[in-house]
Amino acid sequence: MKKQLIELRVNGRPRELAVEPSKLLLETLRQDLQLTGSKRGCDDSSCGACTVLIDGVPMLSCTLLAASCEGQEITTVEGVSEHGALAAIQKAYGDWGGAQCGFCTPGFMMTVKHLLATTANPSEAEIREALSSNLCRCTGYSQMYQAIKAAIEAEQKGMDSLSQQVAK
Amino acid sequence: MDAIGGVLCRCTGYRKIISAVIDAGREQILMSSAPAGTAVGNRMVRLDGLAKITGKEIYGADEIPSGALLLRVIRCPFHRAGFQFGDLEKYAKQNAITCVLTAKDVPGENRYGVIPKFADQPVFAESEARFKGEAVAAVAGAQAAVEKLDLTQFPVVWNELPALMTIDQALTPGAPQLHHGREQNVLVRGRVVRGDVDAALRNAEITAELEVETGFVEHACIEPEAGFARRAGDTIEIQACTQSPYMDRSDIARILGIAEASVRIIPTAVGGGFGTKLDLSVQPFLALAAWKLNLPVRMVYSRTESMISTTKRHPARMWAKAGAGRDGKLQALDFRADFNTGAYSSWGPTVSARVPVHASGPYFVPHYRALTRAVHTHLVPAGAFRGFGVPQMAIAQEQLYDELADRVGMDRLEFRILNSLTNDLPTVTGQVLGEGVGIRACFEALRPRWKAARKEAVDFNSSAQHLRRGVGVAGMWYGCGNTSLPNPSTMRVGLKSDGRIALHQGAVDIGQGSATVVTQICADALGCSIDRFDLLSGDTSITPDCGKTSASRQTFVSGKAAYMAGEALRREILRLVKACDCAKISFENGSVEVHEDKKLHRISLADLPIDKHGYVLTAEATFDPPTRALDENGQGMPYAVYGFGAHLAEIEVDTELGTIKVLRITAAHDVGRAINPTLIEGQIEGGVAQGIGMALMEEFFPGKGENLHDYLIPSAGDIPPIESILIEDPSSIGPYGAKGIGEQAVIPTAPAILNALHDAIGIRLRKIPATPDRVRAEILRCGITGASRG
Amino acid sequence: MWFAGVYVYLRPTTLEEALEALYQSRGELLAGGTDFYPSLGERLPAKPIVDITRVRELKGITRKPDLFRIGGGATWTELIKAPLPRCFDALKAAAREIGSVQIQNRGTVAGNLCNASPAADSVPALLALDAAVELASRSTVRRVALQDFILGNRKTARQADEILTAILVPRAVDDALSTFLKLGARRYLVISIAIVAVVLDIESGKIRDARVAVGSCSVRAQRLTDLEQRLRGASLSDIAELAAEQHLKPLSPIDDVRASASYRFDSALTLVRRALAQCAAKC
Repeated sequence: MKKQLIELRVNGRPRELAVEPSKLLLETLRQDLQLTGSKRGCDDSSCGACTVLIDGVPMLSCTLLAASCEGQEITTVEGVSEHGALAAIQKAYGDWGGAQCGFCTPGFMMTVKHLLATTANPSEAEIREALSSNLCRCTGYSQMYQAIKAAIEAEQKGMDSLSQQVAK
Repeated sequence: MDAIGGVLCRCTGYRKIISAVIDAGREQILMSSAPAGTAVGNRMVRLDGLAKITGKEIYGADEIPSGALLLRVIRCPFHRAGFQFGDLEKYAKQNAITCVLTAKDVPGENRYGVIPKFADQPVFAESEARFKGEAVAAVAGAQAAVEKLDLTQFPVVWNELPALMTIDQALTPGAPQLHHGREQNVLVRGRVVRGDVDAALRNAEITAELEVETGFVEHACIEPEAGFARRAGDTIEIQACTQSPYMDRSDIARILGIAEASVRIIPTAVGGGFGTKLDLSVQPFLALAAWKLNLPVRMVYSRTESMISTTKRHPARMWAKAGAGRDGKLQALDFRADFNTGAYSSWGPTVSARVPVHASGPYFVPHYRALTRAVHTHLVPAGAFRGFGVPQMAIAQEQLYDELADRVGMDRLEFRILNSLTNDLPTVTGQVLGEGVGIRACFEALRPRWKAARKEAVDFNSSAQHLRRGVGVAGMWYGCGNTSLPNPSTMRVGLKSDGRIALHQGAVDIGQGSATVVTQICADALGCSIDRFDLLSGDTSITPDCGKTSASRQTFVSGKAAYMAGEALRREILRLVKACDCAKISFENGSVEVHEDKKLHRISLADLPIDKHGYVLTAEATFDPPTRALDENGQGMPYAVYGFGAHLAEIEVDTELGTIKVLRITAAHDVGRAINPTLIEGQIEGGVAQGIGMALMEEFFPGKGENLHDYLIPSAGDIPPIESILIEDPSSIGPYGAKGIGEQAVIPTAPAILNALHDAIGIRLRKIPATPDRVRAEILRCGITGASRG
Repeated sequence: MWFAGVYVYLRPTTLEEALEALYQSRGELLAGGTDFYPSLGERLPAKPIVDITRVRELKGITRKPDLFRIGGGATWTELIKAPLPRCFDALKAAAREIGSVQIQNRGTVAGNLCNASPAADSVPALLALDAAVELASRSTVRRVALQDFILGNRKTARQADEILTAILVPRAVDDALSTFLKLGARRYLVISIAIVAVVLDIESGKIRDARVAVGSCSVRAQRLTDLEQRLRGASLSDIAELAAEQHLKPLSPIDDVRASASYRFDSALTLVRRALAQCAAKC
């Protein structure tokens, strides 16, 4: 299959690429863009390790053709950090044991990022449901709850100090 | 990475540390750096965390050397088959493949295995494939050419042969023998005998008997095996995910017929191991291709390929009978287990040896006999999986002791407390541990929740209809390190001229956090802040052998070596200025200061010569835990240190559907010394999750459901709140008293759940996992009241 | 686009283009891809791919006077978020159980039907809504009742040149109550052992119309018509007791890695009774 030119927006940057039309987004990210944070784990939509955000919505990059994502904003784990600093959820995962072997972590980052972006103060059940979209074999998921709570707290603190600054 | 400061949130209800049990008032503060001498015992943020949360960590499949060829393996589609190749050259030419590899291309020995004495697995089968998924050939070539191959069209003619699928078939007289010299397909037998079990059981006032079977369990690491190899002159370099770089090096040297010094293993980050990445997977194929072609070659297992070809937890068929007096004192245990070890030896001998040492559980049993066999079949090799057979064994033994307690008429927890092993009582191998036997403390820590949970369950059941609640408990002990075999780790620590410390720590961190724990220990032993440490991983060309990441040995064995190396470097520094042992050392950029009474020695590091390792001072230390061989009755000193623990499971059974919901797990573990409580809790919670999977949903059927939608591992929705209770009954041999926790954590969960199932509705299953259909069938068979439809 | 005289990957934006592309290329349709790629295993796609994710006419869920039209490109998440009457509650509940959120965000309702898995979570709920599918080719548009569309395990009445353009749900029972129950061996991300959907149209405490469908217990999901007959006219009290083993005759469950056949049969009855009771309790 011959390659074709496509233009993708990945982590805020336009990228022009020549890829086979049958090439999956996951392989394009990993091989053509060297963004190896997104992982191939199961080959059959079971594990969520390849989760990326397409226009802010979590999807499995192992079931998407790169070519079909033209014109959409793709966010990978490499694009989660904000202004060069770790996002609150990344830091909290690192601090609180949310990542053990770390292979599933990039997928979880995207799922949880979406949860926090769409639900300001998620309930226990909402967190559980969000975490259920990805599989982890190491942690038993428990330290992820702690990390998510810590991230929410940190973000709220950040917001508080910001609003205090604004008030001053 | 900066840690979030502040006090650990205790309000989630998920994981509370009972601080009365560990040092009262110990600060539960998360730390990313610690002043010299304070790293041990603190919640240090894991050192390799940053790479993992930013997606920058390099796993097996994440690096591709430029110009690398892609390799794929042709595998046998039958459980057993003879085969003949067609025209391989023509195939290669037609498909633009660079080369096809078969057994003929193995320059050294076409044989490997984790235990050299039993090595029996070929890289490529030679004339007969002994399991579905066994490799017979490989193709290497440009990615585009290799990716598009339909491997079912590979020129090979299969001749399917009758296969031995069960232990019984394999043991039947006249059954085909898989390996020469292994009569009746028995790979190895294990035996531990103490006292007179037959007489004791005859005379016991109360006895109980139980039979139970478990299935294959898949490790389901989220990372499938992957890596690449390249040849550099007369050296082969293999970069892949592995738990055992030095063992890989030996096997690859044997396969290629070259010296070990010519093999360099570079372990990548490991995306889950749990024992399966102790054995070779992609490495021999990559090594052969890269060696032959002198080109870099890479490969990544597909999920299915990983599931059909890599090791599994051994299916076990167990029978046990135990006796006690009316006073509730355990008198005897007779235990037998056969393990389906699959087509090749892998860790079958280890499982068979370890289980008889542990089958008493953490109790004093004066009369004891445990006999095991590992039996070959034409199925995927069973190998190491978190606990080397002990989790299966505990399913039999802990359920049996519940039965015994019921017959004695004792509370099941109190029965265990009464019979708990102590510092002074001998184990079933005749070892008197003398210290650090924290099992009784573990059970006692569960007592408050046990009482409350049992009352809650009774209250619930008095008004429930088809739902029934139950509470179960199970105990565990587990020896850290190899069973009566040498098991050394060597650590090297160097002082650099800029005042930083290089730690060559070859203990592969497979996610459990050993890199962090080992550094914490070394830092405190040296008396230096952890911030000054630079870690060098288990690359065999730069780091001494720390053995394999298995048997819950890294904190204990490699940690102790790190402790000794840290102390040795400290002594070296003191020696330079002839200071006494009590002097204080402080590390600065480019210098080290030694404070002795009122004297201050300042060592300018730039003035010191650089040694052969590239440091101004280097210390190296080796620790090999003291053990003694077992005699013909299994008597001796198999391990220097054991970890102890007990889990309490609260469950709810839907009697109409046979489904089980785990409501809560309380886990008490004697870890000797909690070097890093956050990482230990992570091990416990992860172990509990795998225990839940093993109890309720995980069974691999070779040839069926070789994927992660048919093979189920627990999702977040299946994991209840887990409360960890850390108990510190130190072992003087371990670093700062620490013991292992990795495998210990998984062992008691499944038996506690199965005991809770019995508590809830009075059934014991003959086959585990307790899937809904098995539970419901047993409910119907037993005619459980309240469960049948009105 | 053409390469060396062969269509390889086509991404039409109108239905007309899509039908033409499908006809010309003799390719395979790709929508959400959440079943398409897993089914390939280690092979590459053998046929040209016609990607219909951008076809305008397939988008959206619309309310018509006589029916609801779920576009052939509508995803599960769109369905979950759509304002729909309460007879769709069971279908929405099914949507939330389909794979993971990532799959719901990409996978389509139409794709789930065309994939025709015996364990498809959506099929019982759609059967209970008396849904039909609309199939278009270059030359014709036809409507097929859902129960005639799914023919067996992975088999449908769709011709190679047809696109499933919409799922049509008649507005006969907008206000009916509906319930969905799914049984699996783990809590999330699980292929069902048994699935039940119930729609009850209730008038003054009596059942005017009842639809009960069971999935994962035969090669294709089945309506339990005898039970439905029995339920019509019945009062809501003790409704669960009306369901009995004989009503499960249309089911023919099999043994597989997930469960035994006898267990499927047994649990289907329990689920049917519970679904009836839960549905009636909403009244």
